[in-house]
Order: sequence, then C-alpha cells, then structure tokens
Amino acid sequence: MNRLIKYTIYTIAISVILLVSCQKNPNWNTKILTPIIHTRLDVGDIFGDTNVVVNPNQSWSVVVQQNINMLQSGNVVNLDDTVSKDIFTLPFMFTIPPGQKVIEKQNVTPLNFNGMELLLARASVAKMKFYVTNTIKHKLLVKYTLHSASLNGVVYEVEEDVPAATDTTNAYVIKTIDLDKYDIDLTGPNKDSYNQIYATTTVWVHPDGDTAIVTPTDSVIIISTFDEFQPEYARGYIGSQIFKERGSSSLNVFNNFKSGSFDLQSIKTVLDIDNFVGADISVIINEFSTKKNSTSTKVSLNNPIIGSAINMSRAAESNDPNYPVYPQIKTYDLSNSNVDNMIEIMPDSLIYDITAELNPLGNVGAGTDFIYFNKRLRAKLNLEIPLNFSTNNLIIEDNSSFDFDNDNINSGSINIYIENKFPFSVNIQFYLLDEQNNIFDSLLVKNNLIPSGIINANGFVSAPTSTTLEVKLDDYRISTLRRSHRMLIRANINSEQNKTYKLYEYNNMDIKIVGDLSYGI
Amino acid sequence: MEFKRFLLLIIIISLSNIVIAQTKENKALQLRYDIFKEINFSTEYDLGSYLNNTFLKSYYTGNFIDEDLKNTNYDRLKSEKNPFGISSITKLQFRQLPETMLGKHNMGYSVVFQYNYYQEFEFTSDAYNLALYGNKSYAGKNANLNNMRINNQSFYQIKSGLFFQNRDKYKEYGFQVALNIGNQFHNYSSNNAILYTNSIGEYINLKGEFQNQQTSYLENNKTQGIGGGIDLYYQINKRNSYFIRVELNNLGFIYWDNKSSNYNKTENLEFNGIEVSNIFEMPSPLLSTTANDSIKNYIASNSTIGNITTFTPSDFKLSAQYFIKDNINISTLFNYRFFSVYKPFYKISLKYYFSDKLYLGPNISYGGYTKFNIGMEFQTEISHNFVLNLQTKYLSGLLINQFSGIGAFLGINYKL
Repeated sequence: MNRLIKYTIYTIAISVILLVSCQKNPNWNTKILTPIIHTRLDVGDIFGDTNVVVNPNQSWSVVVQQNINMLQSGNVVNLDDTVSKDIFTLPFMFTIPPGQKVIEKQNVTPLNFNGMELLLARASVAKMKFYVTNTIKHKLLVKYTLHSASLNGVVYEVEEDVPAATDTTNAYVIKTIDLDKYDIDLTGPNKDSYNQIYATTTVWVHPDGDTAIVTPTDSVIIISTFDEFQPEYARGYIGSQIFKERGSSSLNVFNNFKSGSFDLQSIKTVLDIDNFVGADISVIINEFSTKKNSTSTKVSLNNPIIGSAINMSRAAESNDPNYPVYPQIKTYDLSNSNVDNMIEIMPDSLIYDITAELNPLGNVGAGTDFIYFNKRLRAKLNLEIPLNFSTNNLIIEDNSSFDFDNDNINSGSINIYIENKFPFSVNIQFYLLDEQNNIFDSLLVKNNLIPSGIINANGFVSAPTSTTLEVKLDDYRISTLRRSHRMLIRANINSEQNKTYKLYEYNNMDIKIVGDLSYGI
Repeated sequence: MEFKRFLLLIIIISLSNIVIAQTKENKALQLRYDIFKEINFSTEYDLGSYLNNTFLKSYYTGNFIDEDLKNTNYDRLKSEKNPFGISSITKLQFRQLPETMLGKHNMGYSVVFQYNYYQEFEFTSDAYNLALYGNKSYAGKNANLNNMRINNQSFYQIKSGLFFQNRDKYKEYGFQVALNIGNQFHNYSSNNAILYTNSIGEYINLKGEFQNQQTSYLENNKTQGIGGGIDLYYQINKRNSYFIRVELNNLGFIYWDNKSSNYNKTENLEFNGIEVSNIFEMPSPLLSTTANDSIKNYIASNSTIGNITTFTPSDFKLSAQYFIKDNINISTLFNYRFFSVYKPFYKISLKYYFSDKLYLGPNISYGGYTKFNIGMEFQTEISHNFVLNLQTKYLSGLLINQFSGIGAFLGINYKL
C-alpha cells in the first residue's frame, strides 16, 4: 500500500512539474492552401506610374518630361584668392600708450572676374581667411571692416586680439570669416565702380596692455583671402563669353527593357529651351542624341534645329524669392523628326553638345545683366508616346528582393494563377541570384508561357486567358530559395501575330500566388 | 449513455447518504466546535480535454504529433463544444474561531490570499482539423467554427469573511468578501462562424459573429484590473453519519483598465493574399504573413479601446459524505462552474480509513474539462496538528494515456 501511495504521489508531482515548468512548442505537419500575394500588372508597372497617363479614350500614353540643365561646366565667376595684403610699419620709434591707435588703412582691392564687370555678388558659401602676423612685443587689437559685405544692411566687421611677439617668434592669428549669403557690393567706396572690394584695417595697442615702444623694424602684416566662394547670384555686366559643353542626362523610362524591339506608331515631341540668365544667349545645338549604353546604340536627332543658331533674349527678374526669374522660352516641335527611332532603341541616356555665347552683342544691357548660378540654360524635352505598338522578343527585366526565411515549409508548390488581358504573350521566368548576382536556379521548370488575351476582330482583347504556372517546392528548390535573397524576373513579350496594338486601361495581368504547402507547425 | 449511467449512480448514492442515517464514530466528519486557529494551504492543478493524454503530453512536452495521434483524437471529438482547459487555484487561508467575537461565542473569521489561473478553449472538430491537418482538406468546403471560445484569465484575490457554527444543529455557514486583482484577460467567442477555402486557394473567407475582448498585455505579472467577489457556504453534519456542504465560490467581477480592447462584429472577411501594387516589389519575408496574421491585424485595428467588465469563473459545489461502515466512507461531489467552458462535474469517492489518521481510496469522475476518469485520494495526520491531503482525479490518465486529464490537489492543514 505504501508503495502505491508513494508511486501515486511521485507520479502526480512529476506530472505537475512537467506540465507547469517544461512547456515546449509541439510540432506537427499540416497541409496549407493559402493565398500569398495578389497583384495586378498594368502599363504603369512596366513604364513607371509617373510616366503614363490615360487618354480620354482610355488608351495609355507614356509621357516623358526630361529636363537637361546646360551651362553647368566651369565657373562663370573666378575670384583671385587674395583680397588684400597690408604690411604696417612705422618710420620712427614711437612710444604708444595702451588703447591708442597705431595705424588705420583703407583698402580698395580690384577683383578679376574674367571680363565680367560686376556690381553685386552673393555666394551660397563664402569663407574668408584673415591672417595677422605681429612682430611687436606688445599685445595689439585689430579691427577688420569689410565695407563691401553686408547682411540685411549690417556691414561685416571683426575685432581680434593679437598676442605680443617674443624675442624669438612672431605672434600669429588666423580667423575664418563666414560670409554666406552676404551681399557683396562691388562698386567701391564711391559706389561708382565695379569689381572692387573695399575694407578698412585698424590697429591699436591693446587697451589691456602696457605702453608699447614700436621701432621701424617692427611690423604688423594683415592678409585676407577668399578661402571658398560658391557664387549664387551676380549682377552687372556678365561679359561676352563663349561656352562649349557636352553632357548627358539619364533617362529611366526604359530601364527594365533589356533587348528585343518595339515599333512605335507616333510620338508627339516638343523641345523647350529656357534661358534663365539675364543676358542674351545665342545657342547652337551641335548634337542631341539618345543612347542605350548596354548596346552602345546611339541615334542622333535629325532636325533643322541641329546646327542652327537659337537666339535667346534675356530673362527678367521677379520679386518672388521662390521664383526669382521669368525665363525666356523658345519651343520647337520635333514630332516630324526621327524621335521615334531615338526612342525605339529603348535609351537610357540623352546626350547633348552645345555652343552658347553670352551677350553676343556686347554690353547692351548697360550693366543690368544678372545670373543665378544654379539655373542658367535648360532644355526640356517633352515626349508623349501613345502606346500603340508591336513588340518582338522584347525583354523586360527587373530585380526583386525577397526573403524565404521560413523553416516550416517541408514541400509543396507555389501556384501562380494568371489572367492575361494584354494583347501580348509573355514568356516569364524567375531566376534566383547569388550574392554576386549570378543566376543559379530558375523557378519555373515546366510551362512558363502566358498566352495573350483573346483578341477580337477589332484588335481589342475581348476576354482574358487563364494560365497556371507551378513552382515545385522540393528539397533542392527550398534550399535554393533559402540561399537566395534576390530574384531576377525576366519577361519576353511578343505581340500576338506580330500586329500593332493600342494599350488601354483595361489591359492588365491579374496575378494570384497561392501556396499549396506541407507546413510544419 | 455511459454518462447517464454514472449520473444515475451518483443520484442514488447521494439520496442513500441522506436517507439512511446511521451512527458512526469518526473524527473526520466532526465539525470543530472548540475554539481553534489554523492555517490551510491548498493548490490544485487541473488540465483536461476531450483529447487524450498522449496528445496532451506531446503538445506540452514539444513532441511530434503524428498522423495516428491526430486521427485517434479526432475520433474522440464531438462536432462542437470540445473543451480544453487548464485551471490552477492556489490558496493560503487563516481561520480562527475565538472564544468570543463581537460578543458571540460561535463566530469566527478567515483571511485568504488566493491565485486563480484559467486557460480554456472550446472548439469544434473542424477547428481541430484546420489546426492539425491544415485547410487543404477543406478546399471548396466550409469549416464549422461555430461556438468557439477562448477564456484565459488570471487574478489574485484577497478575501476576508466570517463564519458561524451552531453546536446544536451541527451546521456551519459563512461568507467571504474578495478584492480581485486582475492580471490578464482574453475572451474570444464566435457564433455562426464558418471558414471557406476556395477550391484552388485563391481566397479564404471567414464569416460569422465574433467577439474578442482582451487586456492590453496578456501577461501574468501585470495588474490590469480590479474588482470584487463573494464566497458563500453552508454545511450540515449529522454527527458521525453524513455531511452535506453547499458552496458558491468566486462569484464576482473584474473591471479591466481603459487600455483593454473590445471587438464585437458580424464579419465577412475575405483574404486574397497580400495586396502588392508592384509584382517586382515582393513582401519580405515572402511566406510568413498568413491569413491568420491578417485576421489578427484586422481585429486589432477594428477594436474599441476602453474599460471592460467581466465575471470571474465561479464554482457552485454540492458535496455529501456518508459512512457506510465504521472505516469506509463514500462521498460525492457536483461542481458547476459559471463563466467557463468547464462542463458539469460529478465525482464519487470511496475512502478506506486505515486509522483515524489515515485514509486512502479511489474516486471516479465525469465532466469538467474531460470525460470519465479514475483517481485516488489520500489523507494522513502527520502529527497531532498537521494534516496532509493529496488527491488526483486523473490516475487513469497518468497510467493509461488513452484517458484524458492531468492534475492533482495538495492540501495542508496546520493547527496553531
């Protein structure tokens, strides 16, 4: 009996302890049938939502507006580094009590702006350095007043203590002066000149020091330099200069289009040239091309605008700080040129080569020119491409990051149910990429063809076709999915019967991804 | 049928206890009319289900649940209202019957600190199928999720009360008032609910009336609610012959804080997978977000936040004991638990007294979180002021895994 009691107590105690303290996650296998992703692929997904518009008749057009900022190379304004260099010496020996002025000097420095005759300049970033060397064995007080520089009407000045020299070493002070956003009046002390910067330097024996004995061998050297100057705005006569510039601008609309071809039926193309400079500009477009860098294919614009002088009159200043310039705009319709050929290569960049001459007729503005350095000359290309086209082995690719971080899937399949309402058939494949972006597995083993929608006699898709693609999840595929974190999706698109079709809003591909999984809980 | 036979047996025995009053000498049934002070400690753990112990042990010990085990247990289930529950009640009580109290000689008082933990589910056989086999077998079909219920809660209680003894009529009655300190609460229930899986899995549809109430934290170490309750009891003892006790424990409520959430809607939810605006931008991770996550997120975003008031699980107990011989006692218990998935519980025990200080005997029970079980009860007086009581309803479940239920009761009485 006692043994029975002991056994009972022991069993109860062990069971209770086991249940309360050692609860672990159980596991079993289930068969799960669950939707995973629902998505719809439409024209906006292919060309980018911001690049497509729906026309009143519900057809799609791709709209591309590409701005190309020109005259960016080189600085229009160059400044000499050194603004002033003053060496102060006394011809005789003087005894100067504390607080008494040693010397005061006005300094008017002409600046070289490469033929510009500027009255006013402003820099987004302007840093001056102020160097003082003192050989006098007494502490000095130096004041530097830059009369030309003002911010909200307050002239810039700085006072600096200069320590006394010793028997063996001179004393030095270096100070950085921040003149960001300061207006720099370049008209000189009498306001009747240009390119002049005006400053006053004053030196005292320091009021806190002793009486100084200054000999002719003593000196105070004060140097001011522009350490950094990024011009933002200038006014005056900005000179007559010729610029040659060749540049490029990236075009992202066809980034996913890798190879094959498509044939566009018509493209409406407008080129605007905007002059934001307050001076006359004569522009010659030497070259305007599109280029697909992966194949080095380039097509140049063939239009009378190429090589002809485009004379732009000067822009005007507004008083609106947000939009300070009324540009002068010239518009050219290029629709009857070879722009369709330029686009059919699926370009990824626009290339331009221009020659521009500022003030070709000289100082006709009588010193009223202006320039905002961040916006000078802009070409704006406006393309409107009705999606009425045929495709032949057009290959679209894109990468997608994914994470198959799921240890619970034992086997099964991922079924992709597609309803295609495009007038194009699509051969699709999902490639798994390794860390070096090399393909090491593809997901669709059997069928990977998505037939086009059913097209009626009028060329419209009258009904979708339904296709099921299956990704078998065997041990090997699960291991490759876990290894990879990037997927390359490649679609080979062909027009049904190689005909030309117009794309409408209802043309899309409905995609449902369903997991049919043996899942370990 | 087996249950009806068992119920009939209990009724007959209970009536026999009362009608046939015989005089027996045994201290175990005597009420203590002398003044006393005592400390009682008891803890009871009760885990049961219509699922058998092999399944429960596999579940709780993290073992693999294979197809045979799933199939065996599926056959044990009814279509609806299958329980799975854990209850744990631990109590420390001080009782005193002083010589006089408030001028009375038969009035005593008690102070109790008690911890209550309930984790309960009531599920359909289809829900078991969905959880254990997956939803693929329901492709193109409805799964019945009607009358599903979750009731999880834990709370502390501080109780104090008075009791009265009547020497002449051998009866005692009393009450305790409780301050309930709520830790956590989660209650889910569904009505007319079905889950439909499309034949190829394109969508999963869940519809029905759903209620979900829960505190902001589902943790036992928080204080998120406060409330009150009452215990009542009445017992009579025909000296040395029979003993009858009726009691109502934990009839009370908890007022949970204003961060609690309450969801109560008739819904028709369709899960079509994660909506992705661009196929080239797949969700990451690819396969961890499931319909279950979406439903949970939906419930969370459609709940109102604020105070909720809930009733605590409350036990009504009717027990009776009778000595059929000098050293053989038969006792019965009926327990009905309100606000719980606990089924009406019936128990009959047979105790053999080896001496005044020691008894041992079997019990047979039906109901609660499970069905039939056989157990054992044991009590010994270790010293003149120290009594140890051990019981289990689930000896059958411990020894034979095809039974269901795991649990035990430990009681200690120490007279000061």
